[in-house]
Amino acid sequence: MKDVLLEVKNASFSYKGGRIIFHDVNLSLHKGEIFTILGPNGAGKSTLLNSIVRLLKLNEGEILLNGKTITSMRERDIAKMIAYVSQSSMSTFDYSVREYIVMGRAAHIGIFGKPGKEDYAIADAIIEKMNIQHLSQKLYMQISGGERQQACVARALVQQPEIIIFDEPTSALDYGNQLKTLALIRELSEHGYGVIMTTHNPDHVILLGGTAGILDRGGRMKSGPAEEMLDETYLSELYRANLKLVYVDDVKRKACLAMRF
Amino acid sequence: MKRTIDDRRNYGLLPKRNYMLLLLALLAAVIIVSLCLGRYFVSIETVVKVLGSHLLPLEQTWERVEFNIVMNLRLPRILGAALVGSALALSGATYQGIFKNPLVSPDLLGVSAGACVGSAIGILLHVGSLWIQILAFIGGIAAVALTTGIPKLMRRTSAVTLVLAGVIVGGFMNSLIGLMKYLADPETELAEMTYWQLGSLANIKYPDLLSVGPVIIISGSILLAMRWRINILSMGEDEARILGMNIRRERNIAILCATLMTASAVCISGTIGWIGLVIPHLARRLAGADNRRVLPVSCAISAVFLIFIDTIARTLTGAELPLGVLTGFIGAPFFAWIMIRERNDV
Repeated sequence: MKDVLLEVKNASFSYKGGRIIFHDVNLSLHKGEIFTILGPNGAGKSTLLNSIVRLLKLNEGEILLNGKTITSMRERDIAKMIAYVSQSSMSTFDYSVREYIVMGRAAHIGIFGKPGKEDYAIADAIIEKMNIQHLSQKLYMQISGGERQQACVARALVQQPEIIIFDEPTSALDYGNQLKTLALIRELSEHGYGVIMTTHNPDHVILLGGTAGILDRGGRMKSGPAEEMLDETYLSELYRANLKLVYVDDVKRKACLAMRF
Repeated sequence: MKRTIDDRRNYGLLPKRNYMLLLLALLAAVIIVSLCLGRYFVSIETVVKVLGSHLLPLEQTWERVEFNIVMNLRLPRILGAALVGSALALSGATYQGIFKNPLVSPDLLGVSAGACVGSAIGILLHVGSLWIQILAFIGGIAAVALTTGIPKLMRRTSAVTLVLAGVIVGGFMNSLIGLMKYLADPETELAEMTYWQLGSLANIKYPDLLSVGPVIIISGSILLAMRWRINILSMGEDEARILGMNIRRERNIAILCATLMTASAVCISGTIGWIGLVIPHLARRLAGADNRRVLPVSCAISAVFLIFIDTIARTLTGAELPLGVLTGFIGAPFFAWIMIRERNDV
């Protein structure tokens, strides 16, 4: 087995005095693995991701990063391990895309420090690799949603983490950009990054392969290899819809399709 | 090198490099001109010589009264204006960054009024100037804690709720000041308090500069050193934390320094409105959004601006004009203009 980067053990979370969002969640993520989390709205996918990066504190259970429990780690050490690409990263002020991306160096720079030549070199190298040089001098808040996500991914890479978490990376994108994002995620995993992402589209799980975790309305998660996890009746129950998993010869894969109303 | 549209957008109207040299030269020029002006005109040549005589053994070609006016009347007041202006603008820019809200400032957050309450208590208790300074700082911190606490209690953290909370706290603090004025001895304490509330640089002497100067300079240096971190803090709490910042510690340091600066400024000049709000906006127009440029630029242009306004205040008419009145007259329409330009100019 390849190195385990992240382990979530018996994790439970509920807001103070509120209902339990998820409980007894277990997952592990290895180097180069893609872990896709599926689940209906409100099942707690984002909450789970937020607890993994310690934006929220678990009520029970623990999260281990390279074997170390996350509660005892410093923010900067967590950030050197995990980068997070959120659904919507907004800025009140008009920073340029390049400045936005170089903010990914924060964990590597002290409180009175500023990004130096090396930090900009790292940022520029990734900007070039992702082919977004044309965005570099634009203002972050004035580029399109798809471009903003590319900038966000670039910032995550500049952080030089081992794990990248994507919270519904495809939800705000057009179909072409959704596929581009999936291809990018696949590429990242091939480069050795462990990737966790949430999605609303079972097809994305099929396209990406890897491991799938399904978080149901009761806040429980089942996980396993993607092909095994996707089951027609289970998905139909999960989404309360009539879904079919069919093999489509033209695209050489299974597809998750909804019945006509 | 040609300036592209991108440069204009990211670096504002000022050049990409060496912009601080430009602004410091402007500051030096404004200081020298302001030293000349007043009821008793002193020529530029004399001013330069008087200043230079501290560094070089110059032959005395000036009259004693000129030396006295330049060195003991005008210079401390001008240095005070520079110090107070920088302090207010720097803390304004910092608050705007860390609360990711371009509508806040030391006055709108209630910090100035809180500091004023603190110093008014000091006046009523007849404590020394050091204690007045400490009480002003405590008042300022209490105000900023209240203002940032109210949106949390409401569980709504929009830009507008923070501004509303600032209005609430500022209003309350002003009532406290009103109460203390009512209680104050009209012969002595009341005058001192009113002076504090109106804002003036007229009574600044060297000892005042020595008492607050170090605090302002040290806090200011810390904020300037942190200015890239303020960029990250301005992305919001969650993002800053995900990027690896110890947000509570770094934000508290920034709030502490900004509040110390505001309280120190209030101690020697009383509350001077508008500067902490307007100057950072002007700085962003001049230098772009990046706080690495905005903070030092705010400092320099605010010093220039306050020296300029104060020079008007003491020279325009025979009697001294209240400074708060002038900053309001100039600051308010100026802010309206900036807001209109910001809307149109994207």
